[in-house]
Amino acid sequence: MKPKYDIRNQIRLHRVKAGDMTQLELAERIGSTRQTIVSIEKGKYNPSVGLALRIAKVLGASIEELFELEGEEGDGNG
Amino acid sequence: MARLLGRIGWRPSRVTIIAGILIILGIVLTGVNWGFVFLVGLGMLGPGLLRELGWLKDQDEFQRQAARRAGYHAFLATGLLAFFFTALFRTGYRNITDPDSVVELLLAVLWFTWVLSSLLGYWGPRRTARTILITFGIFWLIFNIVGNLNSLTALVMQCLVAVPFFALALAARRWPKVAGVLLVACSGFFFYFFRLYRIFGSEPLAIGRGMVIVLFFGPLFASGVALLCCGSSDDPGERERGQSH
Repeated sequence: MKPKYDIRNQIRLHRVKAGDMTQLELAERIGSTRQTIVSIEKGKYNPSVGLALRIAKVLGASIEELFELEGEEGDGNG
Repeated sequence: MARLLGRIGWRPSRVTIIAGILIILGIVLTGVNWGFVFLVGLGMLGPGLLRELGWLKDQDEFQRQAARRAGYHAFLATGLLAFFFTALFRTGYRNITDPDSVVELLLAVLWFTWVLSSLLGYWGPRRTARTILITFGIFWLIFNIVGNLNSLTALVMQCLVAVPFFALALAARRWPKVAGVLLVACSGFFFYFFRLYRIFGSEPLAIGRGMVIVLFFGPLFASGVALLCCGSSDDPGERERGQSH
């Protein structure tokens, strides 16, 4: 079933903030592949909670700073 | 070999290389004894089996998701075809004289669907097309080198046929639509040239026609369609290769 929301992420922005970290560097530090980072940044793949937490830890950001809901469910009660 | 493939833009893992060698070895050795076809099975299914048993941990979660989704697609495609053949035979259709060809066709569809879907899910259309074309070219080279060792002229001439595959792989990177049109046109030409339209005739699976369609026409046509359907935002990794972010 297609979810009624999309997840937007700010990983790319936080990579720049973390000293211009490359996708490959981030991937190696979280034990993943560069293609996975590419797909997450493009919104083509939503990572598991575990992977999201590892990304957040490496980038020194919180999950909420990296990922946010957009669309129906992300709009709250409005 | 890995470095050469890397220059073209494809870096297969050690597991992929070993599996590929097993598949090629198995196919070549079937000329000696058909029992060696089991090597092909080991190459095709072995890595996945080891991963499911937890003995091989070479993939991250995105790769595993792509592989499992591809497995479901392969199940759907092969299941549909198996039911089609069951219905055909149970209703008295007897034009397929060689039952082996049906089993081999089912295996080919299973493998082709899985490979195509997992590549598309993981890499996207452009890189999938390139990988298919490069694999195609390498397979062509290997089989022609093995088959024409006694004649240098034949060897060179046959190997030249692989050049367009590598050229199209390069073109797919920069001009995906052009490469897509060329691939669909090529696959259409092969369909006509090798008389593959006879699959709709009285002896549909004679002389390995089904296998040729799946393993020869299929990759070219699928690559072409994938390239034609890919949008400008697809395959982000292509544009960002080697860049910081």
